[in-house]
Amino acid sequence: MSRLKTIAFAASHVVFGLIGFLLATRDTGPAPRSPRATPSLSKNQPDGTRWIEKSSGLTHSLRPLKNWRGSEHVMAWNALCRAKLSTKDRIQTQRELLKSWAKVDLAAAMRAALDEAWDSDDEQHYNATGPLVDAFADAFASHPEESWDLIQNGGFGIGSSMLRQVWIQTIGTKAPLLLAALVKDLSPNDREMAVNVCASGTWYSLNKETQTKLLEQFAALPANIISSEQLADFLTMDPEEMGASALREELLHIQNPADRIAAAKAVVLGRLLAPAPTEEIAAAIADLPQPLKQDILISALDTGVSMTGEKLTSLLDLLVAENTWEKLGKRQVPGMLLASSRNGNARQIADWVTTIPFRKEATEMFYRGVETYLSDNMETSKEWIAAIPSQEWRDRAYATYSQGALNAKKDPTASRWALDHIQDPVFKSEAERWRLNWEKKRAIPSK
Amino acid sequence: MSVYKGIHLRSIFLTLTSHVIVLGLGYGIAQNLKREVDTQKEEAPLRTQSSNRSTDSTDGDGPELLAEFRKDFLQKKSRYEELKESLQPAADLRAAAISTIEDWENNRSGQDHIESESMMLVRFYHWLRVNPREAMEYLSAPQAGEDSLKSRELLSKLALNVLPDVAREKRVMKSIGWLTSNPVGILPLWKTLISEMKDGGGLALFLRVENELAEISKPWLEIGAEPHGREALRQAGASIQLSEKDSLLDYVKLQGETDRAINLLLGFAGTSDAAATWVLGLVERQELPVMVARRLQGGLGNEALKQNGMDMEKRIAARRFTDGNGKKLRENILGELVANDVRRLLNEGRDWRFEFRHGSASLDDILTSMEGALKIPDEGRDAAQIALYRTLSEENPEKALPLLDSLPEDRRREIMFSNTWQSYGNVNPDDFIAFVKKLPAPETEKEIQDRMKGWEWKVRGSLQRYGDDYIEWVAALPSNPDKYAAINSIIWATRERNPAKAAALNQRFYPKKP
Repeated sequence: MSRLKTIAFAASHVVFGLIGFLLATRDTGPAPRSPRATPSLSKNQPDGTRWIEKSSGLTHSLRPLKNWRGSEHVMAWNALCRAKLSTKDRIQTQRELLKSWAKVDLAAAMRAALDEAWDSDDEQHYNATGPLVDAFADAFASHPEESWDLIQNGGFGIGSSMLRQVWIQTIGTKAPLLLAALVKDLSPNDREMAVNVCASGTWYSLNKETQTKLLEQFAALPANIISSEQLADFLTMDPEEMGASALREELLHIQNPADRIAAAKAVVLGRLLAPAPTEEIAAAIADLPQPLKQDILISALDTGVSMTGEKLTSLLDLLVAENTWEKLGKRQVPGMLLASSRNGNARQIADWVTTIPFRKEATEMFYRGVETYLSDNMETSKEWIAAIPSQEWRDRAYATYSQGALNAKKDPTASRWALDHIQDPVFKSEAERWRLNWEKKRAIPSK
Repeated sequence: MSVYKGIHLRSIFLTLTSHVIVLGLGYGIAQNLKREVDTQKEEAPLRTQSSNRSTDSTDGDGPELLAEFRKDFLQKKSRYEELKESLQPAADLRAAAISTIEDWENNRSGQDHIESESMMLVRFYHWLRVNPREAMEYLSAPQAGEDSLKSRELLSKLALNVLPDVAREKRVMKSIGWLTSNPVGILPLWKTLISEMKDGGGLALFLRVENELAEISKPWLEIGAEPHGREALRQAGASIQLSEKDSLLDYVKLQGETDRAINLLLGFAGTSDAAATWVLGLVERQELPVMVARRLQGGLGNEALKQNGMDMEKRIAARRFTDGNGKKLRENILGELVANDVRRLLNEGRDWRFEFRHGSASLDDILTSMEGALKIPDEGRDAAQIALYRTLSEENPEKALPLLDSLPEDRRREIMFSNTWQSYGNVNPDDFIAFVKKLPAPETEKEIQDRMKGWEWKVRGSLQRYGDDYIEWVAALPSNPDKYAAINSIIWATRERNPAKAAALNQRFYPKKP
């Protein structure tokens, strides 16, 4: 064989080898879509339908099921809309596909899930995160840190809140200490959920060691991140067994009343005392240090959210006397006053709110306290307002009257009468703005 | 053939063969490499970044892949089922079962919990099959767990599959004794009874079990005792054959006004339009004891809601029995019935909503199916179209709009504006805003109020579902009346739960001038 022939012979073999190699490595399915390409699952077509664009020319996958990549999942996912399944079967299949897909491309699977309807099509799978998103629970549990980063930075829009809920529920059950470490960085809503999940975990798993660690971890955080009420759920003692008097004794001898665990115990004492008559509560807290007194009273108030009438106002009198305004302002007191008013105590509640000192934290209590009485007595309450001793409260009663006239009675003339009685010019302009908002709402145009 | 020619052909043959071998070698090397990559991929950590490669996709292979996937997961057995088939019973069944408890206890939230739990379940299954009374006795005593909570949890795990599995094998009549030794056995007992009633046992089997249970005096055995009784009785009623209706009537007359009689009748009424019509006839002809008929009526109206095949006048008559419907206009009751039929068709039959959303089913497809599946009287046509619009508009508002074409213009507008609060519950907020944006400009006070109501109704649920993210979503909307309607609703809804936060939101969205 000549040299040239030898080269040609060798070269042709190399070429054939390469062809063989290329034939084998040719991708047999489409590549998984890019993070922004996957949302094109929802790309709006000219006729308004949402689906991935079609193309052709694919060969059959050679990969067995267990080796599926993103591309196979995309194809199977897209085929669902022509599979003519029942809603129940479709959702079941989607959930299984998502679980499998999440193992190879969590980001794409999450986008695909969020692209579907968020309500419960078959009314079987409804939960706060819709029918599909909780299918990621296992993926989150297997890779907590990576999945958390993805949820936070993946650009999932408002859908990320549902993903976060599933993550929090899952990790809170499987690895509460990991979740606890994140708590301080969460938004208030998520934080509340996270602490609740950790707490429920300690109830059912009865793992004292984890419970103690959680208590330590949470007690180290400031009260604006985790409240004493939340902390109380992690106490390792059984308050029911311990009883109110033993707990009171313990708190009497507490070394450092600012200690967060002492505050959590005070919360528990408040819960135990809540059903007792107000005089008994007053007697039980009399000798205790000031901050703990406040915690106990606030906790009694939180426990008795459905209390009404005298029981409610007498407990509030104790809270006012203890100067608990900061905490009181954050409670549902306005809602409790409103509920009590609507429950046949409108005049008693309205009278009581005029007795509290005028201050910022009390204004919402005042508004909700007088609202029902004023709206139900548009004529006779005019005299009642005029007799309120404090000018600040009187002005606010006129403003509430105006709002009632507008919203409940659709009576702008009565509203004007009330607004014109307000004496403080600064507050009057605020009350006028409320009226303006009402007018704007009524004049809502289309776009 | 000349010698030369022979050599030449052989040479060509050898060359071709060698090329094919090399080609095959290349292919083989690549396949091996690929297998390695795939194996590595399986072991690779979670991929949280989608590939940036973007190729056109297709559903060319999709249907096959989907069928393969579905076949696989539908055949997939739980670990409990697998072990039940493969694990040989131990020589000492009791000791083997008890020895699994500790492992199950220690792994309850660990990675191996499925394995340890399944092992525990199967070991108890083995023991229960051979000696159910002894096993139940052990499980009911405190030694089964360190404390009563663990003991209860252990039993409730077994009650889910193991107890019904054993009862199914032994048949319900032979399982009453051991299942009734602990309250946890009641649900498995019902489960087994209902399944055997469906398989042909019918009312006769129910009566035999009832007689047997009457001999045992335990508080939890009162048939119909809450919490499970009502639902269980309804299901038992739903397992009675139409041919047994006369025996059922005899039984009910004998029973008088009991939960048992009423729930069995209601369950039975739900099985078919013929059964519902028959039960309604008993009430109308006053064949039932007065108190039974009175207690039955409300529930019967609800059953009629589900029976599209029933005569419309009979359905309306039955509906009138339910609370608040007595004096309702006939056309309103008819409208509710038809709307409910449409919703049921969309929720329980083929996945029309999903197909409509993704464009694989057209309005015509759905209307044709509706015509074929439902009996809709002429006077109910508008109600059917409106119900269809309210549901399908959530999937694709523009494509659903022609459903309102046959209505007078003012009615059409009324449906569109009230759709803001009557539909779009729990949907993606982006879908809701897209719908609201396409509404025509409101022209009446009612239209303004409806649109406002839409926001008020959405905000409460959305705050609960999306939390603070929803507030940010609203804050990012363009400044227009919809945004302020949403903000005002957020502030009002927040004020009820957290006045301080509501005040902060008020300040954020309506800052006070210095």
